[in-house]
Amino acid sequence: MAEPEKIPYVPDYGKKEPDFPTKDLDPPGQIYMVFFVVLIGLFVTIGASMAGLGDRAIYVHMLVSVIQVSFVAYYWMHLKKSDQMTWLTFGSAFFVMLVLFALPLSDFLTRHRGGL
Amino acid sequence: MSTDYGHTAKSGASLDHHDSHPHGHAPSYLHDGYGWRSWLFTVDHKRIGIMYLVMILAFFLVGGVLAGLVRFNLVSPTGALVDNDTYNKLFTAHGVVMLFFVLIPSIPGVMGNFFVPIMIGAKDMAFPKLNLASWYVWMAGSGFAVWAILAGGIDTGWTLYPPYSSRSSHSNVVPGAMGVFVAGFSSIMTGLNIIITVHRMRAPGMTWGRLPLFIWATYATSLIQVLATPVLAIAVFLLMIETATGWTGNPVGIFDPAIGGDPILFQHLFWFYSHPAVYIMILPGMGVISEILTCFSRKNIFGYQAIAWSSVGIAVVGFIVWAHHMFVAGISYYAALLFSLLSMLVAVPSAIKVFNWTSTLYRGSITFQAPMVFALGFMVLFTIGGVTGLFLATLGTDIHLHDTYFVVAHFHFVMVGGMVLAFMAALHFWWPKMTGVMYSDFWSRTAAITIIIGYILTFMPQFYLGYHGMPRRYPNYPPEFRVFNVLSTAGYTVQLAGFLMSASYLLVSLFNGKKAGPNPWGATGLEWAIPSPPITHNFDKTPVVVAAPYEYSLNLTQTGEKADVR
Amino acid sequence: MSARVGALCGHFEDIEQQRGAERLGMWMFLATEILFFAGVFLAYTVYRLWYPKDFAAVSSLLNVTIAGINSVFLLTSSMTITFAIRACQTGNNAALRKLLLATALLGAAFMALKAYEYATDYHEGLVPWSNNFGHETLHGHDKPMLDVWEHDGVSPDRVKIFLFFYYSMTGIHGIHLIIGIGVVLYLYVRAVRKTLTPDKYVALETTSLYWHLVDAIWLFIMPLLYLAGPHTVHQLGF
Repeated sequence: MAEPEKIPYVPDYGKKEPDFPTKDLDPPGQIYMVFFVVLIGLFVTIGASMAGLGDRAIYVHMLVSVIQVSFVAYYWMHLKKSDQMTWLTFGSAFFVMLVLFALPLSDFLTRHRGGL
Repeated sequence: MSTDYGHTAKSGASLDHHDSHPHGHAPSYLHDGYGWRSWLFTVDHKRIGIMYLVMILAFFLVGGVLAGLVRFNLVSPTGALVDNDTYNKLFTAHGVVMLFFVLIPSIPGVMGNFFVPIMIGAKDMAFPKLNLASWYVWMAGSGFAVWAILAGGIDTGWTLYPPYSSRSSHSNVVPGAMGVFVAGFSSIMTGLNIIITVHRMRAPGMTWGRLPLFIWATYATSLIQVLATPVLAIAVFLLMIETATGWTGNPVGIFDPAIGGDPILFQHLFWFYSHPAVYIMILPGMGVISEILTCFSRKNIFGYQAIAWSSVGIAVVGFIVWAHHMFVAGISYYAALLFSLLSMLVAVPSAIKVFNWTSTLYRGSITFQAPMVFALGFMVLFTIGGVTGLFLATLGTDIHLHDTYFVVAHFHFVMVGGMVLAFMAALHFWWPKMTGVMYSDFWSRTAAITIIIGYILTFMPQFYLGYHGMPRRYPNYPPEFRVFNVLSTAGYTVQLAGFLMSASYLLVSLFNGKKAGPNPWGATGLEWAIPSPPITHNFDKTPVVVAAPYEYSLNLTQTGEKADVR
Repeated sequence: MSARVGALCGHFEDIEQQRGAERLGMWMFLATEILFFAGVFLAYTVYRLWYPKDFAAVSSLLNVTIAGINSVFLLTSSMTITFAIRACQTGNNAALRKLLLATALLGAAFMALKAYEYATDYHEGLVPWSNNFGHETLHGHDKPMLDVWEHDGVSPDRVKIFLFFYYSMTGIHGIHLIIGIGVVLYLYVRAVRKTLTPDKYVALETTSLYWHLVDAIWLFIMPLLYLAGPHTVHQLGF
């Protein structure tokens, strides 16, 4: 019950837990680890385009990119310590993106077999 | 960490906000600060809602005038009013204005902004400055659209299909597309704000299972706004670049068949947004109907879970059906089959809602004030619109009906008979709360009935026309269709009378209306527990929610008081 | 914002609620950005599936060295901004300023190199809507590109489609990066003025989320555009 002198809506810091901004620090080793993984991925992907793979190179490229982005998202973007809602947001965006790819491709890839 | 409260006596919620009136009785949000600066720089979600309302009504007027010009041109089989080129520009402008500047922002921008925080027991939206920015961005988008119209209009149809729009049109495609692009950002901002607000700012006791169905519906709408609008943005952006390269004399574009591009790719990207967009338009309206039907039949909603989850279901399924707009565009037969099947699914959650609403009405204590008349009109007209959609989702019949007046009638039934009526219902239901005054009961009911009758007269003949082959977007037609076109135009004038009637009594109420108490309808939501109009901070103390919504049979509001008319 | 107490805005109950809301809000915004780029990636995928030979031919002409160096710039800037969050949380203002400045400078270096790249693309006749498209003779070839393509059975129209994607995708990415640089510089100014206190570290965290997304998008754009065709070690030399 707020006392009459207290101004409404302004939270009383005294009542709540004090705030610790340093609660959730990233370990520096982790930050460097991701950097090296992504950097190595960069060399692998450029190297793959010079290895004479031809049409198969795209699979290597995409695999490397997916791994790189996964590391960046999980560690640097703090998905690792994020709550369910954040994962759900990321998941929904990813799911809608999959729909955006899959359904139009179902049209484009079946075109030569006949249209209306 | 500073505990300095630092209050000075400035005006209410503004960008330079400090609490005014820290002690004693706070003024209503309408009186908390005067002058244009206190409105244009406000961060109070209620004032922003009113600003949206004023502009939505203005655009509705513009779109309505454009509709009138289209209809009056169609009273003659050879075009009574304007030449064919102008006719193209008129219906394009009508579509763009009504869709992007009226229907999509309407309920989320006005009632969403105004009532979402209040209904969940919060003091404001999660991001008040973002809220204000969304209004300004919307105004910027409308500036581009108005520029496009004043500079001579666009003649491509609201769908802006290339390669006509990018290569052959020579009309103001880029400003028009820019208007749509910018307005889309406003839609994303509003949606984002609503989602975060509903997730993070509910009052104690307001569990997901106790949220009013309006919140569920607006939440589902916001999901679509956030996830679908970016795809429209990229489609329109790529179209603008393609059109702009045409100005260099060396046109290049990925939708340009002359160099191997595919116009259908644009259609896929465009409709990937524009189909979920129609659910952005209708879902909030459905939420409003749930609120109104329970209140005016004094009954708990039948099937709360079903209606809540069907809102989410519509949002999700709405993402996978878009190519039913493209059945005859040249997509592959297999894709067309797939989309036809998926489109059947999307009717299911909508039907679930209609059944539950009907069951809510059954054995209720029904009274027929204006919000209820509009809501009942919605139920009938939306149902007709919805079932006629099934004809269009069915691949075989769509071959016959695509691009005819049947489609025009179908979407107007759901958008006007559905959404506009829902908007009017919401406006009439929450008018006393927003403005603190009550309008004329007799005139409001008369206007509602007039609008509904006018509406049916306008659009029922169009089903006949479409079925018998009159194409849409054509200014000329065979003489045997003349009777139906004239009937349709006559219906327009009846609707116009109804809307003018509404505008009149609502305006009159602002000056002469009876003062409204906090709960003129005896409803149960949190918004009816606070004064009309609300104070800037909505609640004196954070409310504690103890009851489910719509406990009319127990006469219980969500905060545990009696749901009496006050 | 409504009445503030430190970092806390008046319409929130406590600071953790506010931080949670801000992070989630930024993630929602990132979801929209993912879908925005997904649209153009879909379009690129369709045409790459239809015209693989033409796309490979012109992709081999793009400058992988610049792309590689730019990738390193962007990755390093992502790392510096992650360290900057740490510096803000621990109250280390000196490190915070240096790291934010480094992030902004690396981003600016990326854009500078990109501008240079666009300029050389123009001189090499690789701008499809310009009059000199395909009329230049490039290193390693003895004829103007239009003739080379005719000889190799590559359609100049399809090449134009690829280049449209190249400029629009890197262009949109660049616009996003410029906006990011602007925000980082704004945070830098706040750090210099010492108004970026530890309890406000979430501002930095949300900016870094955006920055990492721009980086992630580049990690996909680079191989798709620059490595669609075969390259040789020679090409890295210039």
